[in-house]
Amino acid sequence: MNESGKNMDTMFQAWKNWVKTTSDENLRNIYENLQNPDRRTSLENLARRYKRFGIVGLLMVPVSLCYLHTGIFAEPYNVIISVSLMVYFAICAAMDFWLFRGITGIDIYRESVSEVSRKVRYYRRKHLQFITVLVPLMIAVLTVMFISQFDNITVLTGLIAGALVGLVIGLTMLSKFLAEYNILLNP
Amino acid sequence: MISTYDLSADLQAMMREMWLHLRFKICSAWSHLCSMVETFTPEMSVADRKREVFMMIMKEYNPLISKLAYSYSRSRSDYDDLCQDIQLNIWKGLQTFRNESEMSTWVYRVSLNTCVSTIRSQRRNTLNKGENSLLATLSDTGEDAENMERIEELHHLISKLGPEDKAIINLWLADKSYEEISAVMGMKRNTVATRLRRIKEKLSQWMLNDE
Repeated sequence: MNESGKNMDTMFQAWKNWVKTTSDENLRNIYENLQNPDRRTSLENLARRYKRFGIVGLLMVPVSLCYLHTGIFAEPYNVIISVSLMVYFAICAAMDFWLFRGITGIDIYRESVSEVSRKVRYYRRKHLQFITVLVPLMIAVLTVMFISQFDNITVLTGLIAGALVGLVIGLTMLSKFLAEYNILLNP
Repeated sequence: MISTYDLSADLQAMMREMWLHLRFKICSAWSHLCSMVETFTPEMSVADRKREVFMMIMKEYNPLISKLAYSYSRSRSDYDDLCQDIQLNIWKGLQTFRNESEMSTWVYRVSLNTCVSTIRSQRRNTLNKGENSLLATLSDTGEDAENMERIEELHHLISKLGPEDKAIINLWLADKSYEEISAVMGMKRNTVATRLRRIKEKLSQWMLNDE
């Protein structure tokens, strides 16, 4: 047996021999912590987040109709923008509810580890793919907004400022998502 | 509504057998849970019994849960979150446990499924400045310095593995047989053996590169 093999074996043995004891007081604390009715697992929190975003997206569909009558956008842009936003939010809601359904469908009690791992990887990949679909859609809607307000410098300035703030927030969120999913996309 | 008299004798026998099998499964699962509680008395409420069973499971398996959570964490906060998630999932899933598998297999499945479905951000996976090594914050058993160093080194190498590979090596380190590993992982025995060999090769290679 070579040197590295011996070292690996001693490390494996050290790991196997390591005993992490749990005192009776710790056990009581574990049980008491579980009695908090608001305690949720990370997976449950993730599912709730998708559900919340789905509901918000769904509520935004009728709200998008407001652009038809506010007078900010002239015809025919008001119709185009309203319909585009409705489609955008409807897609957002559908994607979030689909992810919610998928995440809640994971049964950690009966499914094997490789199955759960595959599902989690699948839904996280889908999440990223959905982002790559939604970003161009939003860019298209914003472009139509810019074109419609090309001669109105006040509204145009507001749109550009809003778009820049949104872009910074979006890129920050995206970098967080990418950092989080990196380990799953390249296991 | 279909009357049982209309059914053939074979079908009736099959249904009777299925009903007996179902009753046996329910009874054996219940007696298994009850047998785990030495202090079980008929006067105990369902909630009390659940609590007792949970405490028994924790007493027996919490050291294993701690090791699993340790291998999937790099910071104390990650470790604590993961431990709590696993404990919560075991508590919630206790009623779903049927005697179809060993209790240890079920605990491993729930624990590892929690670990693989809870991947936190890379930023949180690094130790904070001024924070001691994770093992130093966990160790309360008076491990000698040399062993601590070996465990930390192995933890560092294991942390480079993907979630599934981590699960396989953890099960192997817990002295689980290939059959048990394949039952928890949902893989064929030969696949487990091949992957385990590759994991060990990877770990050896990384250790040489680190040196």
